[in-house]
Amino acid sequence: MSKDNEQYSDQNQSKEKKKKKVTLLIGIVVLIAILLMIIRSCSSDPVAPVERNDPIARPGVGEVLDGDLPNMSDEQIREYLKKKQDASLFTTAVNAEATFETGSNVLNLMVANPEKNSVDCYFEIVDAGEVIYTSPLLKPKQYIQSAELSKVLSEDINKLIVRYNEVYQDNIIGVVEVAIQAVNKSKGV
Amino acid sequence: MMKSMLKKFTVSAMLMTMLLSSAVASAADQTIDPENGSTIDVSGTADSTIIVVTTPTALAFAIDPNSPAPFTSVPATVTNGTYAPIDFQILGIISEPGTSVKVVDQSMHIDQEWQGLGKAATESQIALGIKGVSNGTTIWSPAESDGVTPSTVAGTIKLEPNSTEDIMVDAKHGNAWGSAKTLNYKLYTRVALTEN
Repeated sequence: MSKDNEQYSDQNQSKEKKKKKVTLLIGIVVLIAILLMIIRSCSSDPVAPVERNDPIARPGVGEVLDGDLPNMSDEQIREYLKKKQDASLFTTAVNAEATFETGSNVLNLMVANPEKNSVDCYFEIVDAGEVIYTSPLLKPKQYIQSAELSKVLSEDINKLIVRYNEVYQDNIIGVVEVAIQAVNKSKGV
Repeated sequence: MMKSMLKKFTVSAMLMTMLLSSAVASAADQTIDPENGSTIDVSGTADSTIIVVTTPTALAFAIDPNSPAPFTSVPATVTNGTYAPIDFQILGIISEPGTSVKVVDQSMHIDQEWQGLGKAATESQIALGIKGVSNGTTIWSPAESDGVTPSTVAGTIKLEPNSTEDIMVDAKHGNAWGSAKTLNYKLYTRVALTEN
């Protein structure tokens, strides 16, 4: 009987030892799991969406396109600029010297809108900052050979400016000036 | 008797004519001899020169603030179709209506300051000039003023008779652009026969 009791207590002891071992093992596993969870939650590297089973919140709506941002290449930019700049080229054709008679306000001056221009123009004659004549509109391949000024020129030699205004769709799109001189023909200067 | 008189008169007339013609000839010889200091009147006519110049009147450039070299411009050709030398004078550059970035004096900021301009300054200030491609010198536009057309010569590019010269836009600007902008400017130039 005492032998049975001893055997029984031995079995109990070994069972308890096993229980303790299992509990310890479970405790260690749980501890490792908790540690792993803490480490993962602290990590900056997010979990890839494909590895997640949970659905991610949609950040917004819109069309997503493949590729880099669509910019013009350097060459395309240069071509565009060249085209735009060349379209603004304008040609002047003016006599460097105009003539007038004493006491007359008529200036003999040839001013043309040459054929190679693609836009209409009108011109102004400027004397010391004052506009003294404004021409009618000239189409390409048209010219004017005299101008009736708003005043009589007083000096024998006058420095004048012929200011071309390029016109496209009722807007002035460009301005070019030509410096000329007006000479009193009566005095034979 | 009458016949002999007529003969004498005819002979005398012929002699007189010969004498006179030789006198005129000798006088003419004297006039064209360059050695004796005589003067010769020479007359001629010269028509007024027609100034024919082709020039761009609009500027085109691009700014990519995301590039190490943000400013891009391309050459434009100025053609002197006159058979005389021409002064191509830059008067100034002004912004078109609707362009908020105004032309200011290039000396308003030193180069480092231009690069460091904030958004407000970037979107309101730019310095523009015209550079001669052959000599690389930039003629900077004076600052624009509201309603004032440029009339003072900022600089001159000489054009030989019947020749061409390439020019291009030069600029100083900030890089803090909040949004894409279309910038339009008008170039004011004057051409004249070279004075000297």
